[in-house]
Amino acid sequence: MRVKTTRFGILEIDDKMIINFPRGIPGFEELSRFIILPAREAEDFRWLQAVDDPDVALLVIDPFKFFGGYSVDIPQDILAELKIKEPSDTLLLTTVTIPRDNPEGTTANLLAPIILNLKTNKAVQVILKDSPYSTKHRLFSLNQSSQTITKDHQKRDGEGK
Amino acid sequence: MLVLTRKKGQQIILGDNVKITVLEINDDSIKIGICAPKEVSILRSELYLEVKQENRNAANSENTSLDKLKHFFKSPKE
Repeated sequence: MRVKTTRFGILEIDDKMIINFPRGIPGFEELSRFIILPAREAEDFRWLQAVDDPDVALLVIDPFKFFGGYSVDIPQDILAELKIKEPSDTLLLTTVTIPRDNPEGTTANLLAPIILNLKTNKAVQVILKDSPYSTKHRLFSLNQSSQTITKDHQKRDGEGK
Repeated sequence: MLVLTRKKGQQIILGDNVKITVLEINDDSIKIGICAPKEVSILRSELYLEVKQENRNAANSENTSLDKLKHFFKSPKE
């Protein structure tokens, strides 16, 4: 089907790419269909583009690539709702915010990851309870110059993917 | 919106299976106990609002901002 997007023009996509958010997402409760698009400008970044609203596209990342110690205990009822049977069925993404004029201040919302079942293409954004994480977790440490800023994941031991 | 008054110890039942109890009343806060099945999500509303706002912020990202970002990475080698 054809998807109109503000940032990427009109895209021809396979319906199988469409991810269903039965509950929408906070702030966009009425939108339930999204697709994931790669970001040409930066590796490891992707766009969660709404199928039904060309203007709505959220920047997302695989947080495990950026935050070595990040761990999420997906609530049982979410696993049941999404019918997740194996860990390998799951894709976890978090939204990213780049403050205008301050890319160094880019943050990820580690408090509310998006959990996706790759087998059924169903997803939910979960707000973690009793979580040590924040909605604005910096991607880049505060005291590094632009030449040497490295992603957190370079400190971690090789986690897959 | 239904507005009602409860004293300490009193309860409210929502639907078939959500029970709210007023546990403690202090000067500027109250302690509330909530019994609900696991499927019912219970959230402090400011948390939901915070996530809502953050999603809106993430949706305001532009391609140009993303372009500036890549200068901050060493060439990624996995």
